[in-house]
Amino acid sequence: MSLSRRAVLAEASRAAAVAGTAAVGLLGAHAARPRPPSIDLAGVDPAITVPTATQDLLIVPEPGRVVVFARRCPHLGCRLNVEDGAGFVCPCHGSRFDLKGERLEGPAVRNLSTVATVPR
Amino acid sequence: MDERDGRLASGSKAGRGWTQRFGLPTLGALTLGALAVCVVSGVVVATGYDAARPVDSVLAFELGRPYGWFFRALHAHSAQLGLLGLIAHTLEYLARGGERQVPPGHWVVVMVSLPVTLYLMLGGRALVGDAEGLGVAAVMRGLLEQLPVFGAAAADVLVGANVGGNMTLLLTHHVSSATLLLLVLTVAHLKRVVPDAAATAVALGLSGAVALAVRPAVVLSDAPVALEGPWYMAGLRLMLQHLPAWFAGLALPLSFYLLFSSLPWLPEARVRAVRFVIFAISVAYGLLIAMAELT
Repeated sequence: MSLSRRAVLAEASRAAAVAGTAAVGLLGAHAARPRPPSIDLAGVDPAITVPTATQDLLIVPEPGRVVVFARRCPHLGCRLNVEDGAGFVCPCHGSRFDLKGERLEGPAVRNLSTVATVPR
Repeated sequence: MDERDGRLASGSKAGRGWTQRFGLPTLGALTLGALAVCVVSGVVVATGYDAARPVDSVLAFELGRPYGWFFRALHAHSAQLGLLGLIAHTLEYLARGGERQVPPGHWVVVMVSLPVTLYLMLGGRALVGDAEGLGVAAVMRGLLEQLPVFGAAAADVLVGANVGGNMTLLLTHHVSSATLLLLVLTVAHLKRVVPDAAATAVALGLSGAVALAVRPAVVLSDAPVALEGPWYMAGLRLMLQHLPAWFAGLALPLSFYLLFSSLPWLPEARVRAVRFVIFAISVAYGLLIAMAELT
């Protein structure tokens, strides 16, 4: 099978046109996407006594305050679960974090991001 | 191979498959038959699906509709059969050197079909909206975000934020845009979309029999310790546990895909070696899947 230079150029320009259109579409969609609402802390109960997970948050009681983390693994974004009240585990790839949000083991390379601290 | 119309004639040497020796349809025909079963059963499943309450609607469909459990299982298992057929068909094609017997545009169509199929499969698992489905959606999003420059945009467009488990965007792609794209690619590949009746009957029989015996999982625990994900991603899951995400989830699969895609354009002298590398990587990934499933 042999291709002429003209045929290769025609194929390449078609591919470039498709890729360019896709790129413009992607960037446009990204720019126009709805921004996520600011995190609602109304559901955070300062009186909790054990580490708790809500749909999007992890809430950890500390003396005089509760610390709120995003319930999202910094590795690939899976929802973290509370593990025996002693820390957090990612069910997707096994990253573990302590109650201060610091990485203990697993493929995640960053600590949990703190969303807020709420006095109590 | 009939190069005039760019399709494989079923009676030609390149179009004949080893399955025909046993009186079975070709792998390509079986894959198209499975796709037909999957699309039809998918329409039935979609009638009960609610993107805002995914897992509740899936359970209501499965438990409350007459034969709902069967249609959902048939949809899931025909998709698995289609994927297996596609993998086997592609490897069979590769073993025969089929990629060098077709026009380059035809090979591009085939290569584009592979990620579209994978996207449809993963999207389907994510749409269940259970803990595993949300995990699949998060990993799809997380891996797309590793792409330079366009990563976040691609994740927004292809997966969405899935905030609160709302699956509207994924559903839109799953039932319309991605499925339509796959059908267009199928027509471009085969010059037809209506499957062979015998192959469809075999696909229906096989996936129906499995559907009667095995119901696809719904992970009802809100806080599972470990999620397994689809079996074909098990090797990737294992790699992601030990290697950086950009490398295991993006660089390695993309390199393999680009190597695979480049086959028709490689110098004749290198093709044999590259084909061997592709087979070796495929076998290695199969072993990784087995290792992940057994541990």
